[in-house]
Amino acid sequence: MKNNLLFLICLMLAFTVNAQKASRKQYINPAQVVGVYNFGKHSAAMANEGVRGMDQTQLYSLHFLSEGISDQEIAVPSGSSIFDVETSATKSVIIFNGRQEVTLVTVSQGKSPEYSTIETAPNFNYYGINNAAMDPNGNLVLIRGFAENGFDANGRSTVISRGIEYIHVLADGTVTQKRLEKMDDKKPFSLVSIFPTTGGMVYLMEHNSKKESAYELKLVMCDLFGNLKGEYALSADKTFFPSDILNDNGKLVVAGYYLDGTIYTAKKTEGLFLTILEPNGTVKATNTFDWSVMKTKLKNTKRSDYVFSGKMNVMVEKIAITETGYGIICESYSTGSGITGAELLIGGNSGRELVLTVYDFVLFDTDANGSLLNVNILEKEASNIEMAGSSKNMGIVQMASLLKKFSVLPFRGYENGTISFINYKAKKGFYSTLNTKTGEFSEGKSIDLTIVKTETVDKDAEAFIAGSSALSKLDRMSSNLDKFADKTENAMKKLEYGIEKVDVVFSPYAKSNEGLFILSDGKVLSYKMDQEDYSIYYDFLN
Amino acid sequence: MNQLILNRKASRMFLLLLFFWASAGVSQAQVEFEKSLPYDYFGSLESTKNFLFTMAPLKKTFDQSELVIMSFEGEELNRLQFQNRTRPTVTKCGMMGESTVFLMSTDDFIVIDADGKETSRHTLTFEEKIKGSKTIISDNGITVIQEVKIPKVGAALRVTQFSTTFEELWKFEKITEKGKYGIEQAVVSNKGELAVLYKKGLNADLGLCLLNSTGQEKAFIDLPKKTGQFSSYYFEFKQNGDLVLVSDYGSTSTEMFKGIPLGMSVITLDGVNGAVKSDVVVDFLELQKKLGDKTTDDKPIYNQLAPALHLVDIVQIEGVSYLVCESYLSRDRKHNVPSTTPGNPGTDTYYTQMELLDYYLLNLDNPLENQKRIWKQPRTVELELGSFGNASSARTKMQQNRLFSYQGMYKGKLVSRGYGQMHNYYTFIDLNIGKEELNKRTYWGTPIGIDYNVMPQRKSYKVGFGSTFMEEYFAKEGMLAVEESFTLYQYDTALNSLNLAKIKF
Repeated sequence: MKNNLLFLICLMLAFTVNAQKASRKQYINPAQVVGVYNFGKHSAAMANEGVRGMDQTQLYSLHFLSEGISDQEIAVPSGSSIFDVETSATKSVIIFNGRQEVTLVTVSQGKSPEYSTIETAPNFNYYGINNAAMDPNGNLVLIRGFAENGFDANGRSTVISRGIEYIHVLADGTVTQKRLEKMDDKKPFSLVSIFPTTGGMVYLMEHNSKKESAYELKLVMCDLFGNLKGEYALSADKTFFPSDILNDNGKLVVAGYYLDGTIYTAKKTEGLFLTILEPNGTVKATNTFDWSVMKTKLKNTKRSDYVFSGKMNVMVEKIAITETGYGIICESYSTGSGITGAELLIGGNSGRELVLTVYDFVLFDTDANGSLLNVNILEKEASNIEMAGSSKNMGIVQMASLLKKFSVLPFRGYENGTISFINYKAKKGFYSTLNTKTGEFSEGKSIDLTIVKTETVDKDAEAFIAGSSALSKLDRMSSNLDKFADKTENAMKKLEYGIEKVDVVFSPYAKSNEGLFILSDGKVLSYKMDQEDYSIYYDFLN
Repeated sequence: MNQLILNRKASRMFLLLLFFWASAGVSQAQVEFEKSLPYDYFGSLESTKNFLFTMAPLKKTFDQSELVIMSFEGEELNRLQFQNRTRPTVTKCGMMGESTVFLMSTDDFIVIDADGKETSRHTLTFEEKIKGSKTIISDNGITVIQEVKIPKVGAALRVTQFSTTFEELWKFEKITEKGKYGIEQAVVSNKGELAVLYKKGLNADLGLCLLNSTGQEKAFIDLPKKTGQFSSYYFEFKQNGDLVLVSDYGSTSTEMFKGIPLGMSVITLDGVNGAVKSDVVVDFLELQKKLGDKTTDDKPIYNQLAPALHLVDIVQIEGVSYLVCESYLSRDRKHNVPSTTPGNPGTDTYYTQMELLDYYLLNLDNPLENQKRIWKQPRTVELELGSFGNASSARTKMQQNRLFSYQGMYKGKLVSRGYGQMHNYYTFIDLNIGKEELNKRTYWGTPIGIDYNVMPQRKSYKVGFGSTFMEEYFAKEGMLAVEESFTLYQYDTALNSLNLAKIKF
């Protein structure tokens, strides 16, 4: 009986260990998976299933990373490819760009997908969606270019106007607005960022002429139905770069960093700003906090000299409403070529890489009018992010927009005075939390999943090997070689990190075999695709 | 003492229960194999309406085989061993009333009752030189159809009927001085009537012989068809006593398209006198024009060569008989196996690829009207048949190994098998919806291969190690359909075990 009890305890312990292992979603061929997306309460892998010639449709299957949720079939016009998935707590929409039409597929668990098509008017050229955002209520905006065809003075067919089309789709699927914004040939503005707020979308627009060294930035505000409500200029003698906007009971709270002059004249960043606007663009309050002011609020002068040097970029990650006014959570980072001392000595690095080094969290509190009350720097381990693909060639504003959209920096969320973020240590990320009041740091689960695979042993082969001393020796030698190979691989990884110092590589729009989502219920899901055993492993980190 | 034993028993039971609970929690497969049976060498797995059975070489022998009979749940019912100069195999298996009869390669008939017990064993011997033979096992007994060469007389078509106790009941013989009787097809009706389709002499003309249940000739006539462009593969009595003959019609280039046919011939013959009642050819290009994939300007995608149809079943839907066909394309794939000797160019092997496409339902009485296409996910089965392999030989092997997608009907829905996400799956297709729904698949078994970038997904069946041709039963995984029940099976080559799961709907 004692033995049995011991066995029972061992079994229980084994189960405790099992509980920490990643869950497995079987029967998925990662080669077919076009992406893994956040669908609100769940995430799902979307697999390309080919064309159904019978009705000329492109088929996809959705496989939810959750037990008990059935797969779904998505059938869109042939030639359609996924642009993105926009999601809120209540709604998830897959956006497909087709050959001649845009298809929106609303996905809900337990219900068949609902389809709607965005057509293009007969006298317009067709363009696919190139930007989209969904507000917390599930209202969606789709952005694409437009070109209207007409006739010139000689009656010849030509494009008579072009620009940006904003398509507003309410949460119930009604298209309320198809706003055409014609391009001003003399001073063209392009869309950089969309800030979805509870009161409607706010667009950050940029005019940038390298030839004339001219630079302008403005905010364009719309209501929930997509109607234009107002504009606000962000550039004059100073240029303000907002990276977060909060709708606080109708007021728009805008925060970011600013420069003296424009990107063509400024040599460093000057400080942070917080502006409060009416939805029509009327200013209620505007506040700038230059680095020297920020420093005066801090005791740790050594760290503040470093962070508030003006050479550092600051990303406003979140504006939170506090008892006194607003709490602004920022993350500081710098950009560089990524060439380390070791690489300089070894050579071979072209120096064309762009590496972001992300440093501390910066928190500042303001009153309801945006006047500065407190500044706090929360130190954390620096991490290096290599920007791959087209992202390394982007302008500063576009890059900031991209960093925010794809949650590239370690920050993941802020709730009840606690920041959640990914703490990187030599390429390994841990989902950690930091209490902004006490400074208490808690290192959570590794985002690298613990995958345990079962291996089937060929009984006959094993017996055959066991019966032969020569084969047994060879088998032991092979096993030792495998161990040696593992050790060498680990050593090489460490050496590689020692030289490159890159914790994570970011490549926008590239299919990633692993990733992390914050679901609508606050759960953080980490996943990893495994081609070898046709599965996706996933685990919840909180 | 008793108390102690009870405690031990209880604790063991508890641990056993705990183990099963733990096993259930760890597994996430969509189909759990319920039974795992030791099976040293995979030979074959088949079923009758009474039981499952395997036939395989016996371990550590060169001339012995073993027939293992088991219930549909995998419980062993009987185990029979056979020995002969050449290792015995099962040539044919059929139902004779409630008994199952196995015809062995040794010409022995083994009769097994519904519980799996052997009830009798018989051998039929024939004295003349047999040029061709077909044996039919039916409720009426054993029917042996032979082409016999009689010295100084000619060739004869001889039919010998044996009772269910293997006593000769009657004999029919038709002699020709010239030519021969090449037996193409033979079928026995429920009433014991016999129809034999034969090829006459060397001129490829076809003839039909109809006998009643006592061996009296009803008809012995020529058919207005010739072999060559016409290759029959399905011959069956209809419910009204007539006969239906389904054949491939025409052929494409064997080089280019592996000889897939151009049409399907459906002939209805009068069961009394053998007269042709209807003769229809379903032209595959015409079918594609009507129901096939179209380009954006509504032109058929297949305008030179169309997917061919293979008849997989005849079913009754709302009182109407339909031919259930699966469409396919075929092509070659050459694969170079690198040599282990440096400098040697390696060996080319040839695969016959069968891309299985859609289902088509054709009205048996009027195959050209109200044709219906049912879309399903395409899949490819490729067989290493060598450079002379073609679609026709591939189809025969696929049929034997249950590799066509169609697996039967269940409650009016079509049970279909496919490859998706690099695994086997089965699904039910609602005929009214007219297409396979991707979200209604049940995946099972281990991955089908390593070519995960290839679409449609394919599974390769190769020639066994040390062999030059494919084994008769090479598919080590599949579905067995028995009336309204289905059993999944997969042979585990690492553990040498046969895994079974009865599908519950």
